[in-house]
Amino acid sequence: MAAVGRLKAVAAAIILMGMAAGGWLGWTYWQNQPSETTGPSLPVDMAMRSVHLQGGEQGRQEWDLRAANATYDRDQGMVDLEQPVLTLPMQDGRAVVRASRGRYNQDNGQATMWPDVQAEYQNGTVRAQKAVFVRQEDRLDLEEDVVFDWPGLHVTGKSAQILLEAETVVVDGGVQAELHSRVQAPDEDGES
Amino acid sequence: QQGEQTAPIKITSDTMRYAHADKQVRFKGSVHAIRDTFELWSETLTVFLKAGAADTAEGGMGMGGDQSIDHLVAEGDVRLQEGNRTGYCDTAWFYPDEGMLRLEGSPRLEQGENSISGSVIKMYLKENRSEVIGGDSGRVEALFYSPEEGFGDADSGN
Repeated sequence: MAAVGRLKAVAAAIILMGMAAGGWLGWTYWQNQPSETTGPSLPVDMAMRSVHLQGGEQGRQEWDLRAANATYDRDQGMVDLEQPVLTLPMQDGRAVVRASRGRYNQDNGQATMWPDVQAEYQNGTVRAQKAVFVRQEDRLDLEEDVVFDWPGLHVTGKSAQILLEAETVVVDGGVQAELHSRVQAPDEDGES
Repeated sequence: QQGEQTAPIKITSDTMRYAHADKQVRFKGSVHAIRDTFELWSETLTVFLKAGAADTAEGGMGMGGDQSIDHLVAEGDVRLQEGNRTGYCDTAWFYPDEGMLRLEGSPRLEQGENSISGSVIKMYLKENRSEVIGGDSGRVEALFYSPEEGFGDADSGN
């Protein structure tokens, strides 16, 4: 009978020690949890998911900016964007610009996107390392390793501007182009 | 059309401007263009697209590889090289469909020591043939050297 008693006492002690250890672990774990209110360390007023910004005048939409995630800094009036997609309507079709990151400046309405910018424009594709949409000028500036690929015309340059209203592209900084035009093969018409 | 050859024209310049509405692509500043054995240097080179070329269904730049180039115009200090023939002029028009080059503005064509000039020179690249139209005096001026006779100073031929 004494042995059974001793066993009961040992078991009780083990259970008590287990509860004490569990309580201590729980306490330390809870202490290290960041509280919901601080969130990421950036000075951010708001963090948003699947953001959609639009702009226009007199009922005409001028631009449409979407992003997977965004953070908003009220003091600077800046919206930092992840995976932004900028759509710019034009008379003929539209231009669509994508990049890994972006920033929208509320004050001047300028959207900057970088790196690995990919755009669709005028039935072709455009690549660059940086794109800046200058709303007041209705212009898209492209910088660093700019490549235009249209059917029949491939153009590279250091920088470029797309004048959206005038539907005009200016490439500068040293242009290299390859222009394709199907021509009648010399032997096609019997003359050597 | 079988047997058609896509002959890319490689162009380098300081700047390029493509205006969709005008259907023009304009290269400016130290322009150098190469296609096969043909080379051209000028201050500017403007590519005129055919009327329908740039209006694809999506309204985009429809160079498309079909015969979408109507003609090209090179202006300013133009120099051309095709094999051993060299041409100089102020303005040159190139019509890819016909393979014809038209030189104006003091055009001169040189081949080795021989040269010919007039008011207009037409070069038919596919047929390896040239046509010279008279200068202000209505005459063509040509200088042909014949090594065997060892001319001293050849007269200008009329």
